[in-house]
Amino acid sequence: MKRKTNTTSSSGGAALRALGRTGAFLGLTLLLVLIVLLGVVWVMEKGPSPTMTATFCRSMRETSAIRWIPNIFLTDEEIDAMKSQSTENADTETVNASLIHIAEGSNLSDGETAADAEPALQLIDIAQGTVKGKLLIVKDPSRVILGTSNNLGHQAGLQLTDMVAKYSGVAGINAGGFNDENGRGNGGIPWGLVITDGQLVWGNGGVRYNVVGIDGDGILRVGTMTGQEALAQGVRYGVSFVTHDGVASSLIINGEIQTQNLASGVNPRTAIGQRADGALLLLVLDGRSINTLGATLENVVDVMLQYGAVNAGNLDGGSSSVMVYGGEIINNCASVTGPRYIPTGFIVLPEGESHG
Amino acid sequence: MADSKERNVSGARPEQENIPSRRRDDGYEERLVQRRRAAQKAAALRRSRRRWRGFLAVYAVLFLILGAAGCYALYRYAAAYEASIPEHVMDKLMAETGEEQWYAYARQGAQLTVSEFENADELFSEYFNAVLRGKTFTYRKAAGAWSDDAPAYTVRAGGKDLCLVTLAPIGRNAAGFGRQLWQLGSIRPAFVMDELESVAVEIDAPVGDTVYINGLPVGEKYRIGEAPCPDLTELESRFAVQPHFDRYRVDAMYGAITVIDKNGTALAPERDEANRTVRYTAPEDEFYSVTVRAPESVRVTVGGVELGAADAVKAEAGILAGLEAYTGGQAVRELTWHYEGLYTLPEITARSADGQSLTPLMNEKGELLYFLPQDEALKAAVEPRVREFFDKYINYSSKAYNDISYQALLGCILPGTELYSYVHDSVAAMIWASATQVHYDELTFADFRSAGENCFTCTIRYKADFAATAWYESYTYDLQNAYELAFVRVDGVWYAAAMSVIAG
Repeated sequence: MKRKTNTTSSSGGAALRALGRTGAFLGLTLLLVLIVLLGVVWVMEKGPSPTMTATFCRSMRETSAIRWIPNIFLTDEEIDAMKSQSTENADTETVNASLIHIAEGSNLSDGETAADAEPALQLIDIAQGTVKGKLLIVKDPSRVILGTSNNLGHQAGLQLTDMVAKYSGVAGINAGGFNDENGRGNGGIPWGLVITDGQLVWGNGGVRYNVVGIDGDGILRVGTMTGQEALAQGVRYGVSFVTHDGVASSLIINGEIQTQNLASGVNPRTAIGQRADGALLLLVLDGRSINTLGATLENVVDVMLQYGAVNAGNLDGGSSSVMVYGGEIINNCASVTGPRYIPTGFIVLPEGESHG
Repeated sequence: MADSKERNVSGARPEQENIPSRRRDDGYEERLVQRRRAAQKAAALRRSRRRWRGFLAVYAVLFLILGAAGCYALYRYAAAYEASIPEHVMDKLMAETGEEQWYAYARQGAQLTVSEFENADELFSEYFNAVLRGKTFTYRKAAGAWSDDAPAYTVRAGGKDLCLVTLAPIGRNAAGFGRQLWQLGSIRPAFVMDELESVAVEIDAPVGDTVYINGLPVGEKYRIGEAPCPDLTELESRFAVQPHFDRYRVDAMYGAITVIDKNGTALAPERDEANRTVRYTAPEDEFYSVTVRAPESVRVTVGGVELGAADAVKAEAGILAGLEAYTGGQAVRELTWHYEGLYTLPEITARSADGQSLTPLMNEKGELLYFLPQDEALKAAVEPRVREFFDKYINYSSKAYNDISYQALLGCILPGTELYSYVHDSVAAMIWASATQVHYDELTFADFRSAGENCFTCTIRYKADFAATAWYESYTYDLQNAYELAFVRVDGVWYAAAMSVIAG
């Protein structure tokens, strides 16, 4: 009986030792990994490549949950020096509506015949180097409206699939930013401004915002303007967005690249653009995956220009970037907890329907 | 040492045999064995811990060495990455290239076919100044031309592509880690001025007028056909062959357009956005007017359009007014048509009711006067009397006052008529008339037409040279004149009853 007890005690000690050793091994490994990661971060932040440093820091700062990482080895002054020269209210250029010629009464552009007509909706896989994503070309801009979550500001947001279904849409992308402190926002409180059906439903009429919107004629309006100015320009559906570093949302205005707004890291991106014939370009670029780390705003501009955008604006990116088509999310959503709850999304109505 | 102890333990019998018998009890031995076993176990545990710590230390050192090596490799890679970023070459190019150089690159690519009315260089310069001057020159990856071996960028300004810059690698793997160092390869103009908005220019101008675009005459090769005249009169709109303008067209013009007419007056443009056409109309500065007078029964056509009583601006009894007692109530109503603002001088014809073509008499105002066809028998019978009247009229009116001439003339005129009063009241004026000689170059008595049994009308047309002496000077003058006359017969004698100057 005593011998038996000793045997049990001995095997229990061995198990404890094994457990302790495993724990110690894992702890040590974790410590070593952290040390090595610190080394990696040091190389990224203090290494010989200013480009890599800037991209790394911007990428981190654009993400709510890890935007403290650049401060490990860099001072605030050094980080500020990498920020864009853009400020939220710097843009003065406004969209020239005369550059957009929307064919009336049909989906045909000037000189286009039914035989060579572009499809009403065209989904394109974007794969340019490390930049990957989806582009949805909506020929008739009047089919695109802004969807909002229920009881905006008082209730959690909607996942984009639900929002598209709410408006009986056929497709959609996420739109404006929202309150997402430390990445734990519920998508119910928008940032900045929200205009639906020509009404300012969120935001202040006298405050300047970086607006991305669509006016009653289907013309995409991007630029810095107050809520009242946006309404005066005829914006019927609009949101606003700036990055954490205050980079304004205008990417292309009247064919001119807004270079002051392109300083960015690599992240998932959502953007909307418009061609000269009025077709809207809904773009979502993936990121934070093995497949693709993401895209810079320069990449977004490149894609927009390649597909003929005359005006383009940046929307909320990161884990919010999603595109819904046919009732499903068709891009690789970067959110590890599933599609995020968002307050606003640009929704594509079925063919034949319009916001008019 | 441990090994020998272990051997002793395992081979206990020989040792036990050496233990004194007083200590050889079971409890002692058992405790001894246990202590030995515990000592052995503790020793084994210490050895195991030492080995584990050694392992961990080696593991940590190796991990850190590998981590450091990885970080070092990353560091080196970062340096290679930075050195191999092709955008740095582009940044240097953008910094070193001025606006004028970009202008030159863009000009090379701007292949623009222009008409003789525009200058491609000036046009490009205007376009560049308007669209690109002062703009920020930027570059973007040229998606269609990009390759890993030859990065390509489009230089842009003002939303326009200017040129395509392609980079070339320096050596192979020059930056390490399989990355290249780059240098400027080629700069290819990519500026397409087809984007420049063009419009067609159409000019309608009066036939034969020369119009000018940007100071240069628009030649016949630009004439594409006829164009309707603006504001065509109602009459001309009924013409079988309507007047027209010439239409000129220049298919594509890109810059400022100034169109002037033959008088140098700038024409106002009229934009047709749907057809991307700008139209100009040169005004007609020479319009025609037509006045035709003819008896009501005469069929008058103007430009192929037959005129009716409803078209006339005036209908009157004419020279027979007041002579109804002699015409037996037969009235010859005369109609007058008047048209202004005609683009062309139309062909005018007149035919009597029986189809005879009539020749008009044109008065000094250019009015065309038609008379009914002549009655030859009447003419033969009454022409001498008309000639007699005319001779007396000229004799009285062109020479110094002579009472005999005056009385002779009055004798040919029916008393109580306006004509009689007219001649009678002219005495005071005619005493100033000069002695004059008359030579007729032409003298025609025509258009004899009966208006009842005791009335006829006729015309006298003449062209004469007059030689006059007034007081102290002599002079000559030519006179071309025509009269319409009405004669009535009283007691078998024809008297002039009315006279109307219809030309002169």
